[in-house]
Amino acid sequence: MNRRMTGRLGRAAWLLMAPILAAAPFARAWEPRDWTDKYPLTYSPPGRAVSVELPDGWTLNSKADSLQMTRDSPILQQIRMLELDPRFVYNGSKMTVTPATSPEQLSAVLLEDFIVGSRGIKDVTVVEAVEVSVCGQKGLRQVVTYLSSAQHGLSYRHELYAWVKNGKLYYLDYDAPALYFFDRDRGAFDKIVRSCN
Amino acid sequence: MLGTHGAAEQSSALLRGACTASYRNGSYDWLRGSERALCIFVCSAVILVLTAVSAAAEEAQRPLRVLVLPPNFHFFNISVNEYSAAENESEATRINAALVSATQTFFSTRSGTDLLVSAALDPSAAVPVTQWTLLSDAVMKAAWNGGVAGTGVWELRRRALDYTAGPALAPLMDKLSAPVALVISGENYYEPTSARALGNVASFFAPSPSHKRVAKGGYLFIGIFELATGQLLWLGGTTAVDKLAPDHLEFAERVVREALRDYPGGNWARPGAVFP
Repeated sequence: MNRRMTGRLGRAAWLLMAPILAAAPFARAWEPRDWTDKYPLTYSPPGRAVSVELPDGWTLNSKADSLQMTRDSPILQQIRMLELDPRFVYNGSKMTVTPATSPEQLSAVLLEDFIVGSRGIKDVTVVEAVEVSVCGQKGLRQVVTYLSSAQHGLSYRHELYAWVKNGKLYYLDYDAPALYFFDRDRGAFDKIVRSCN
Repeated sequence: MLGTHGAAEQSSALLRGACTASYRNGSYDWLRGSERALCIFVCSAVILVLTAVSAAAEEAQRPLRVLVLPPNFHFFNISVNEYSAAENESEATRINAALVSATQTFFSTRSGTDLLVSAALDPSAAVPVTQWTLLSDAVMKAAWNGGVAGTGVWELRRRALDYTAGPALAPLMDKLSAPVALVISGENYYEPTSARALGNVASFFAPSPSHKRVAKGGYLFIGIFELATGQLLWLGGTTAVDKLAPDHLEFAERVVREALRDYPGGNWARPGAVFP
């Protein structure tokens, strides 16, 4: 093979490699299937009654039927937003959450729902449950700590906001290990809560 | 290579000989003020470089002190019908002791590492250490699931990702003169052969419960974390922990060797050396 031919092949190889090399520094490690770092700037649950702004630099579960985001991995931090039917089965009897439901009742209902819905958690402690204004509505802010059995006893902190609007119950929560991660990434959750309208 | 002392002695001789006077044609000629200043400046620069090089060489020759934290390996016995698993803590305790022993054996054959087993830890540090090691297991899981291992966990630090368990154990760094900690974690869902045979018979006759069967197998991670920041510097692991009878030492030596197969060795985690 002569030198001219070699030079052409070399240039062609570089042209082919250039986009790969250019993209390499921006590749993300946390890219399991169904999670994407390309998502819209805002999110509205199916009822379109509320909308929130999403933070930069996170990944979004594109297959989830509600909002589910993480930065490094769902076991390290997770933000979710759900639109729920406000009818709960509570202590064996049906109960409907309405705007008139007291924060104490709403807290009890959501706590039981959280414990039943999150398999393998123990030592659940309510740190705070207060009435707040969220997304222009009267709602609940609740903070609990628990130990995760799946993570062999790692302590997590879970913060949620809940409110009723247009006959739907909205639920926005942030879940992360209490040590280091909860405080580190809470700013992104705060921004989402503040942007809610 | 010169030591720090050698460089200092050489530097003062250099300054005296080169910048105070020069010997020309059999007689000393005193250097003029500007020449002397320039001479001192150049000599000082040479001295600084020599000192830095010799200090770096000394640092590189010093073994890397690694604090081995209490291992966090969990062992589960799968039930006969394979639909549940019970944690076997006494078995886990024995496996954890074997994992530490296997790690010591691994590093005893490699120079450049000085292992400090966490028996030296103050009992009051037990709770923070336990939570920190549990968190470091979650961090290693996140990195491993993201397809990152080896020193790649650090390379990503310079991009968007930050695999760190935080600085909660930073006080141990000064107390024990150890810049890094070694964390061993993992789990094994074990089903003895006899239980499997019984399970096959039982599951043939019994109606299937609605929930899934417990998956056999598990994982072992070994991570090197910087104590000052909690940053994961190196990660090794294996998922080849299934089908292993818990013959502890043989089991431990096999999985530790597998997890550490790409360990760089030597004083690789020296600040500013590999990870600027």
